[in-house]
Amino acid sequence: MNKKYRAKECYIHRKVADNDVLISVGANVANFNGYITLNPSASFIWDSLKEPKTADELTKLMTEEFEVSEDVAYSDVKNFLEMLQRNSMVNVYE
Amino acid sequence: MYMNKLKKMPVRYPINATLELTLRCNLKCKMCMFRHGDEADSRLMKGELSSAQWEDLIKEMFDAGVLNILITGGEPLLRKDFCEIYESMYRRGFIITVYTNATLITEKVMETFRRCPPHRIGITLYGASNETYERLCGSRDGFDRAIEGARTLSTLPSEIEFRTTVVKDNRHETKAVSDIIKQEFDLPVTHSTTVFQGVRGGCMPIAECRLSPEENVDLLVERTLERVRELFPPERRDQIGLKPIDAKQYCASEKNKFTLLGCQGGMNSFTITWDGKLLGCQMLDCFSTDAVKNGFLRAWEEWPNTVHLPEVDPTCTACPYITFCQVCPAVRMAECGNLSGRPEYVCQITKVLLSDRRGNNEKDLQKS
Repeated sequence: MNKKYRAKECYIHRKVADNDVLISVGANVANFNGYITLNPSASFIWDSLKEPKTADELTKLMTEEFEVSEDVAYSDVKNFLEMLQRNSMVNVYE
Repeated sequence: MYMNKLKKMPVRYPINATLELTLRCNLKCKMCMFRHGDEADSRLMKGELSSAQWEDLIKEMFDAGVLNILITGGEPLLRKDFCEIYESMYRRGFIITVYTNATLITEKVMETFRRCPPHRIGITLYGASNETYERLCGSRDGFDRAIEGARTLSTLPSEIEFRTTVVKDNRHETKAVSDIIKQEFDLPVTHSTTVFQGVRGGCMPIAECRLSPEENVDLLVERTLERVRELFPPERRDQIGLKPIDAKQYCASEKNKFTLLGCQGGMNSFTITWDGKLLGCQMLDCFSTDAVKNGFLRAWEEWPNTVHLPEVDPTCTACPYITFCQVCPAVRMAECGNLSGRPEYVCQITKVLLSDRRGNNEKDLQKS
């Protein structure tokens, strides 16, 4: 429940033609050789993960940034964190 | 008329950049369309952008939203400051491809690439022996150095692509090149089958060394069939979904696409030359803006205003094969020295491919 997540440094977050993208860099190009497009909420979460955060902390930030209920924000955060973990894009601290 | 065309132009995004760090090269290939004489080297070197100028341009390109960068030359690793320029762009976050002949892979280059591996490295091989490299590229140990360089580069996490350009002097080693690369790296080789004449001051007598239209088409068919066999071994043959193209429909759909040069050149891709010009196509320098003097964004925005294409040879306009032909303004300029001429060599290739050999090609495909 109190797990903290931090974005790995093997992705560079930037804008390309009004889209937010993550560019895979460094040794990570062996695992993923390309880029990922982020929607505005995913982009916001990714930026928030520059420093370690729990799912609850991210949910709170989401409700402050976007007009969204706590339940919806928590569900989105959980799903996104699971996807990031599945693809080894975050470090997880117990 | 051209101003009317420009008014209809959709939004252009500068997504794909080709950065030509230098026109100089340590190899002296007979078929290089950019090669200048040796006496031009010092002039070319003096005119090259400095690393600081490249870094400024790279920052501007980043701000403008460039995503993919192809670093090429000449031989880009010939620049003493290659590592500094490369690392400054890598740190910003681009998808980077480096084209190299792999003969100049130093420990300094590898140290940089290990920290900042390119996403792709395109290695060009010109033969399968030192003898061929000497005859074609003027380098006695070129093959040994290229293979050693390729081995070293293959230790990186980067995706490696092998390419070759086939001309008379190395035609006999086409299969040997493919076999070596398959055996050593388990990778295919992409073959450039059409070589155009010198452009932008290139002075090589390319017409003398390139394949005839018939040899060119034979090689194209041979390579295509090999690729089909690789991709579809006998147990997967039933998955081949070749369907005849409706030529009229295809031509109509191609004509409706908005382009300035007949391709994506200048629409979402561009080249910055060794001396700071912005081009829509690396082969064609008669339409250019100054990316250093005016800044990248202004050079990109103003570039379409420089494009003025004349009416082309009426034989081309009336040709039923025009949509399947490789002809474009850059090819016309390379082959005819102007933007309207009919390039006989390219015309012959298209005719052999689509007409004269048509029966044979269909039989070849059925046999494969």
